[in-house]
Amino acid sequence: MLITIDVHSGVPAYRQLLDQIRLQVAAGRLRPGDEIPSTRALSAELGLNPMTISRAYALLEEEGLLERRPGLPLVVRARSGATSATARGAQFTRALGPVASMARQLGIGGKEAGDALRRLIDGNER
Amino acid sequence: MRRRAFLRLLERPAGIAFAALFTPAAVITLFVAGLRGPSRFVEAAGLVCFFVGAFGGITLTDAARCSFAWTLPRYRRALLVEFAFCGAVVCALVTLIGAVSAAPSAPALLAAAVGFAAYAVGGALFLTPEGSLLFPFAFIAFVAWRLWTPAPVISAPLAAMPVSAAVSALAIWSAFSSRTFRWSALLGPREDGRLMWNGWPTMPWWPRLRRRRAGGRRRDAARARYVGTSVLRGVVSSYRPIRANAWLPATAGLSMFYVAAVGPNALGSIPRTGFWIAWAIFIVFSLMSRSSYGHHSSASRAALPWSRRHHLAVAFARHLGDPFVILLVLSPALAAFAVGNPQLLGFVGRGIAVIVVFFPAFQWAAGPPTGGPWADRGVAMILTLSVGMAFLLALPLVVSGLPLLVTSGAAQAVVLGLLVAGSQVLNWRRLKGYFATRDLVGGEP
Amino acid sequence: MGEMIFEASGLTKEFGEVTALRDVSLSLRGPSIIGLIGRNASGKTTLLRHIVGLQLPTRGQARTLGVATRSLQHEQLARIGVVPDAPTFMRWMSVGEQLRYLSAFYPRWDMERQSSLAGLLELDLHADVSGLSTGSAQKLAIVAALCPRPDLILLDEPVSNLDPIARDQFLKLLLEIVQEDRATIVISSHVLHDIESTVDWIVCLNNGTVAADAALDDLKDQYAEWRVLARTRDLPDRFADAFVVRQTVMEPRRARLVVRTAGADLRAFQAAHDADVEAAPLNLQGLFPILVDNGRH
Repeated sequence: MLITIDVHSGVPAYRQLLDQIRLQVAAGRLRPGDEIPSTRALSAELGLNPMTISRAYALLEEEGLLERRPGLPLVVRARSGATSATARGAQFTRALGPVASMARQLGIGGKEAGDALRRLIDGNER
Repeated sequence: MRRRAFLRLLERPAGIAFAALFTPAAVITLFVAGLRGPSRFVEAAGLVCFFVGAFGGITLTDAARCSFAWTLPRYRRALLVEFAFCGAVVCALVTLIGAVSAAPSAPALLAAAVGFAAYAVGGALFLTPEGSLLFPFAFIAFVAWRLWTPAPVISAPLAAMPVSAAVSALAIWSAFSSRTFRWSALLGPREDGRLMWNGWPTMPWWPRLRRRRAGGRRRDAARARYVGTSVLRGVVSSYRPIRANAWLPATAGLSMFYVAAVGPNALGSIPRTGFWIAWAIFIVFSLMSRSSYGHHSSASRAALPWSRRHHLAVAFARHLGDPFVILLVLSPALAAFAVGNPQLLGFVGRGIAVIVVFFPAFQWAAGPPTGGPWADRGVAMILTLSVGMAFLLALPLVVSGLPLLVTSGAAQAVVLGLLVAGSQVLNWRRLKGYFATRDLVGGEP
Repeated sequence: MGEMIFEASGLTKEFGEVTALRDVSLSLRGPSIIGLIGRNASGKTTLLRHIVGLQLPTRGQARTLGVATRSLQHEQLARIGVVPDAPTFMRWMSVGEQLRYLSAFYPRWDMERQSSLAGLLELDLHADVSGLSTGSAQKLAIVAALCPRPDLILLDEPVSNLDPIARDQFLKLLLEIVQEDRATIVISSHVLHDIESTVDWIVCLNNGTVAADAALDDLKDQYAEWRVLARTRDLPDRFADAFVVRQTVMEPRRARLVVRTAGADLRAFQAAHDADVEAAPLNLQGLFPILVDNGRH
C-alpha cells in the first residue's frame, strides 16, 4: 500500500488517508483480504501522528471497508460488486469538483468539458 | 542504585578546594579556641559550622537553580537528609576537637547543638529568598548581637539548647520547603559558576527595582555615547549602571553599622565595644568594595565607542576611585567612631589600608575588567577562594601584627602607603596588559 | 478517551499587574500529542509551569495526573518528563555524569533508551556540560526527560534550537515514544510547520486565554478558505453572512474569505452574490491567525 500525505495541504490528514485507501480499494489495488499496515508502521513511514491514523482506520472500519480481527492486522473486507461500483462513482465525482468549478469560471459548457475528458481518458491528447 | 544527591555535589572541584583550604584553618581555630575556654570554644564551633553550612548552602543553591531540580522526584528530601547528615558529621568532628583540645570542660552537647544550628542557618541563608536578602545583614547582626551580649551561650546552656534546636528546625524547614525550591527553579542558574552569592535582586517581589535597573542601563549607554569621551565622564557612566543591588547591601550594611556603632558609642559603657565596631567597619567596607564589583555589564560598555586606551583609563580610574567613594560614604560614621574611640584610630586605619590594598584583587576575582564573568571557571574559583582566604588572613595579621614590628605610627603609615601604591602599580600593569591583548566583549576566550 | 492528564478550571495567574493566564479551563486527556501554540507571551510557558506545580494558580484549580498541582508527590513527578525552554544543568559534570546523577531518582530509567537516544541525537556523553551549545543542552534535556519513560512529557519550545535534521529525528522519536509508552506529550512551539504532522490536538492560547482546544483535524474541517470571483457585479464591501470569519476584499470583484464550514452553504452563496467560489482547506499556519482572533472576541 503506497500512501502519500501532505500534512501542510490543509486537508485533514485523516481525510487524506480515508480518501487514498478508499481510492485504492475502489481501483482494486487493495483487494479483499489484503493486509493494511499497522498504525505503528504507517506512523513511522509517514511521520504522522498515530492517533490520526487510528482515527482513519476506525472510520473505515465503521464504513465496512476494513475488518479488524483480534490480534491480527487489519484487512480489506470483501464487498459486493454493486457497492464497489457506487464507491468508485462517488470517488470520481468528488475528484471532479474542482474541475467543474474551473469549467464554470472559464465558461466551458458541459458538452465541451465532457469531450475534453473523453479525449484525455482515451489518451488522444497529451 | 545508590542515590547521592548532596554528597555527589560536594565532590566538585570547588568543594574539594574548600575542604582543603578550610579544614586546617578550622581545626587550628577550634583548637586555639578550646584552649582559651569553653565559652570561646562554643562560639568558634558555631562560626566554623556556619561557614561549612554556608558552603553547603551555595552548593545546594547551584543544584536547586538547575532546570531539572523541581521535577526530580524525591530530590528535596534526598538533599535534606544528606545535608542534615553532613551537618551531624561536621558537628561531631567539631565536638571531638573540643574534647581533644585542652578545654577542661568543653561543653560537648552545647557545642554540637549550637554548631548544628549555625550550620543550618548557614545553609538556609543562601538557599532561601529571605536568606539571600538577609545575607549582608547576617554578619553585622552577629557582630551587633555579640556586642550586647558578651558570652551569652555558655551562661545559659539550658535555654541555649532548645533555642538552637528550634533555630535548626526553622532553618532546615525553610531551606527545603517547596516554596524555596520553586523560587530557585524559576530564578534559573546563578550568573556564573563562581563561589559567589548573587541573585536576590531578581526575586519575584522585587520587580520595580529590576525594571529601573534595566532602563537605567540603556539610558546610560546612550547618554555616554553623546556626552563625549573624557575619562571622568567614562567613570561616571560606568558607575551609574552598577546595579541597585550593589548599593543595597552596602547601604543596608551601612545603616546597620550606624545602629551598631553610634548606639553603643553613645552609651559608652559596654566592654570591648570599640574593638567590635572596628571589625564591623572592616566588614561593611569589604562588603561594599566586594559589591561595587558584583557584575558590571559588558554589553553596555561594548556599546560605547571607546578606544582600548580609554577603556584602560576608565577601568583604572574606577579601581582607584572606588575605595575613596566608599570612604566618603562611611566618613560620618568613622568620624563618630573616632571621637568615641581615639585609642582605636590606628587599629581601624590599618584595617582600612588592608582593604584598599586588596581592592584590585577583589575586582580581578569578580570578573574580567571588560565585564561579565570569567569564562574559565576554574581560574575564577581559585581566584575567589584564594583572594578571600588571603584577605581573611592578612586583615588580622596587619591589624594586630604590624604594630609589633613597626612601633611608630608614621612608619606604619609609610609601610601601608607603600603597600597601597604597590598594589595599584601591579593593578595598572595587569590592566594595561589585559586591555592590550584581550577581546573587549564577553569575558575570556 | 484515556486518562485525565491535566485539568484546569478557572485557572488564573497574576504577576502583580500582569495577568499571564486568565480563567483557563482545560482538560487534556491521553495518550495524545498536544500542540500548545500561541503568540509570544501568550502564557504557554506559564501554563506548562503550572502543570508541574512550579507556579501555582492565583485563582482556580489545576490538577495533574489526578492530583492538585500544589501537592504533587514523587509518584507523580516520576511520571513526568520536562524539557524547559532554557535547560540548565550542573556545569561541572560531564553529560554522562549528569545523566547518571538524574537516573538514580527515577525508578523506570531506561539505560537502553539513554544510549540509543544519545546516539540518535549525536550527544557526546563525555562532553562537559558547561561547554554544550544551546542546541546540545536541549538534546541533553530531551534525553533526561525521555529516559525515565514518563507518562507525561512537557516540551517547551524543544525544536527551536535544533538543526533541521535533529528536529526531524526528534519529532519522529516522539511518535515512537507516544506509541511505545502510551505517553501524552505537550509540545509548545511556534514553529507550526514542524509540529503539524506530529500533533493531533491543538491548544491555542492568546493573551492568557484559551482560544482553541480541539483536535487538529477537526479544526481543519471547521474552517475553509473561499476564493470568491464575481461574475457580473461588484462584491459588497463586507459580507454579512454569519459564517464568514475573516474577509479581505481585494478588488471590487475578487475576495478571499475564511469561513466556518458549519452553516456555510457554498451554492446559496454563489447564487446570492453571482460569483464563482473556489473552496480550499487551511493548514495550521493558515488557521493560526483565525484561532488567535477567536480568542480575542
